[in-house]
Amino acid sequence: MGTGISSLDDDGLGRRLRALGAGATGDGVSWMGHGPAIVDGSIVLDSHVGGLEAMRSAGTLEQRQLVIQAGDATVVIDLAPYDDGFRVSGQALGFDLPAAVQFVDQAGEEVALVVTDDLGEFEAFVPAGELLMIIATANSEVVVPLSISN
Amino acid sequence: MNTAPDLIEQLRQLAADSVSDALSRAEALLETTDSTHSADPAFLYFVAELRTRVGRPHDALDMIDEAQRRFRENGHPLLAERCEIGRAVVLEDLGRLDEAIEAATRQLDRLRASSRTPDVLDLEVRALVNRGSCSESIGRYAAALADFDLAVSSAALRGDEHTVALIQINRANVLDALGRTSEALVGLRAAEAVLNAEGDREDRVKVSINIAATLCRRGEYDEGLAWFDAAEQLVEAGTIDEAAISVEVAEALAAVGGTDEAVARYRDALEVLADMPLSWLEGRAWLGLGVCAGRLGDRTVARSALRSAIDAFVAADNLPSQIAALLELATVESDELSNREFALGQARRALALADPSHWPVQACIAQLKLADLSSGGAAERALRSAMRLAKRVQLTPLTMRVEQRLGAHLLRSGRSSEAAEHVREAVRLADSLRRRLSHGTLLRSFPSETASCYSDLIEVCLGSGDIEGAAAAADRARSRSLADLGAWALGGSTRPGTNAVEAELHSLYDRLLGVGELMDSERRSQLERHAHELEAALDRLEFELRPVVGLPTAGPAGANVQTVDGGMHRAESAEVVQLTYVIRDDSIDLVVKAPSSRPRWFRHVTSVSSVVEVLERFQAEGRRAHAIRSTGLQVPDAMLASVRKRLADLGSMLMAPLRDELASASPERPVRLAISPAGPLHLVPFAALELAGCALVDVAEIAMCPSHAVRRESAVRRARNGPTVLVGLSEGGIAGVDDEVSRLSELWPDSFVLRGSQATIDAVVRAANGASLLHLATHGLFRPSAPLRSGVRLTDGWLTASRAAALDLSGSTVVLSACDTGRATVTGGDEVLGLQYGFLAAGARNVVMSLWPAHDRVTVDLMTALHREIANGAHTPTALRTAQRTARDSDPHPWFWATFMCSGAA
Repeated sequence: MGTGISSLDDDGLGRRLRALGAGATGDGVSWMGHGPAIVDGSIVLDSHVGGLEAMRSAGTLEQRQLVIQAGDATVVIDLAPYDDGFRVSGQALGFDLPAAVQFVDQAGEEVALVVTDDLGEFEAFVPAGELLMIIATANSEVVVPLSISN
Repeated sequence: MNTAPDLIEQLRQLAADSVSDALSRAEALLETTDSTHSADPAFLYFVAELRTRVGRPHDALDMIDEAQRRFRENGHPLLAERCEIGRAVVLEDLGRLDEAIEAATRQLDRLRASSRTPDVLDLEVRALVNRGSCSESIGRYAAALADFDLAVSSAALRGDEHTVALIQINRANVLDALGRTSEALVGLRAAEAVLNAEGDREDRVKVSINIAATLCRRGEYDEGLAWFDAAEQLVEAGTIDEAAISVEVAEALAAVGGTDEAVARYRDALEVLADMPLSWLEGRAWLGLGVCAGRLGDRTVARSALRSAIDAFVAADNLPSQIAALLELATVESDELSNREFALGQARRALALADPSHWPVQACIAQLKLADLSSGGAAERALRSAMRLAKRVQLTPLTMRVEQRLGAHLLRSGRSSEAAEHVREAVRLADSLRRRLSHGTLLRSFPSETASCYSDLIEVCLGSGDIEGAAAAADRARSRSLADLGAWALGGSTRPGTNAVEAELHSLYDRLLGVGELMDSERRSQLERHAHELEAALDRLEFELRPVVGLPTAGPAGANVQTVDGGMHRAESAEVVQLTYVIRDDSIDLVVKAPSSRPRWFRHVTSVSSVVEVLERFQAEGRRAHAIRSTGLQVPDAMLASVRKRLADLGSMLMAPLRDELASASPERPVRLAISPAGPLHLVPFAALELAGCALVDVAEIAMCPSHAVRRESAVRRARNGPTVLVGLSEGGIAGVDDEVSRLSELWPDSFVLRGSQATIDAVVRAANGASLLHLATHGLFRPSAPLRSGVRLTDGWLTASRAAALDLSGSTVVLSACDTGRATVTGGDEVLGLQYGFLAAGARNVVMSLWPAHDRVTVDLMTALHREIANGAHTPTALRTAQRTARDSDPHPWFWATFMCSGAA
């Protein structure tokens, strides 16, 4: 079976995480006005679903690619199976760098936290499952729900 | 008293089921006190035959001598001569090839002096075949060919077509080794016709397998595999014959790099053999599987397969194969540091089995393995023992290996002056081997050995301050097959005027190959002097031939390359700055040869690991840029900035020594660079590298080359007045191809166009032969494990690198407008195996190829710009530079504009 990723409903983990995040700061719903601006990222290209412009190659793509758009920011992710989980590498573009890239599971537990380099590149190893990817800078947070499975 | 012939027949039948059982019974009969058998030469000879068949040839020899003596005493000289035939076979099995050749020569003298009865003529044919077979094993192909030719004539005169057909199979093996596969095929097909009519099933299977193997060697894998299939049809499923064919197929596939497919065929054979008693064939299958698994990095399977191979060879009492399997096991185990002692144990076990008086070759190889696994004095002792054995058996490839290893060992030990002698001798032997063997054989067996010799020579030269010698060795170390092919490409169809000269060359080679057969030292040195004279004659001939075939007359240095007129091609001038990257361990050196100056050697400009790391990041960013572009978004500036940083990093790593040359260049007056990369550097997009904020494409015109020798050969090929051929296949969602071919046909109104279903392999091959410009727009596929089977897609299959190499493209420009067409597997000898190899081998002057997957739409514009420049008379590297700078204006990310590079003439 191939790797599967899909966007979750807005009732999914995103809200739960926002709540957790809000709780952690101790100021209720103040994230809208005083904390970092939180923006939902949406997947605008999933290479396994289609949409990659044609290449003159008879071979198959080695890894899956996602392009995520969040306002003016773009995140490109390469996803490849690795041991029991997945290797997520990518580049965060249009952010104040460096940014923190956090992966959180359904229970709200952090499964990986990495920091981009000054070109926005990052690499993390995550388990399969439904996750939230949060790209956080001092001024913004982009939240992208991901479902990663074998 | 003689043994009843019935008894021998009875034992012969028993041997059909079990040779070992038959031998046990025969030996028991010999030992009985009242044995009359021990006095019967026919029985003694029969026992000797059985001993040879179970892999005990050394035990057979005395018995054959005794049988021969008794036949003579009993007044049966012809039967004694028959024993001599068997004796030669045993000597060949024992690796005492010179002795076997001498014995066969004496026998032939005796037979020729006796009356020419049919029996004598029959023996003469057999003796010739024996001697030819030994000469072949020793690498004296011309001598072998002469013997097989005589044997064929003699058998033909007697009207024995069946024997002629069987000898043709031996003859074809030699022709294959000499690279004369077309002649081999002619002989094999004639043999097939006879054996189909007269031969038994075993003969038909044998000839089919040989045809298949020859076709595979020619790179005609599909047809070759079809012949293997045909052979398989002749045998019953589930039988040992079927397993034997699977093993042959697997060995052919493994030899051409089809490791995965070979593994599958070995497993097929083993499945069939599973319920049969252990045999030599099963051992071969396990050994092959073990070697392939080792090559694929699967040590667990390799280890277990090699152990099974050893068990099978022990059961079959086949000592040489047992030694080979033990040494392979040592190799596999030595990859893991913790298993070093175990590996050493296996090598010692192999050495103990390889009694040097009987198995000198195996003993020599075991000593080499022991040296690999040891250090210091122990390694040197093993190497010196190996040297003594190699000199005794007189096998040049083996001597070359030992000289190379001893030289390298002494170099590593800091004994450079002692090392120099061995290193230079290894290089001399490597060069001499290259002259003898076909490039196909070299490609399979020698590049890494040859490369090691040259790497050591570089060290020796650098150690003594001889930079020019080191630079020359660096260039000679790489892509030797392609360079030799270029220098010696004398194919009749390409250059019809040179056939006579080519024939003379062949004859000179044959004379060279025939020397050294006698072991007497005075005679040998006399022959060696003669050989040197012949080599000098050969060089003179080559020199005289060069203007005829359009090769440079100034010799290998190529400093004064002659001007070649014609069409789109421009001769290389003295302006070209040659860059040669040399990898030594993890370190990358750069050799810069600017016009009219001595080469400069820059040590450790960077490390391989640093380049690979940045290159991987660049490629990942490129793929991401492709994804973003696919969404319709502009590639963000941040992404451009990051990719430029990667390219600036690579630029300062790889180009810093050229800072001065580049500083004085400008977009209007670019410097002309000819770059010969090494290892992973073959995938570096040099045009996009940045130095001091400036992309190389702005200040330099770049031609890549596998080696400068190859480039020089490409540069002087005459442009031909052939047609422009445009091929387009837009299947699989690459609609841009149709647009591309339409635009190019407007630029080339007289072009010959093949589109869609017209673009069959046959049609493209027919059109491409003789073309001055060949453009192929389609899908590309790179096969890392079998790089010469990489190809571009046509309607009915693939135009592979191997198939391309057989085209007649001398002096042409080839554009491979598809994905990954410039990717290559770089072998130990820095032989760049992939489509580039195929098209340069076919004689192309320039090949334009992609370093990574080519974007369909972007490629249309780039190719249109490239061809517009070429049509206006620009030289291909100049045209590509202009096209890339134009494409960059609309797609600034280098992943799109720097996809293609140009190889060949600068």
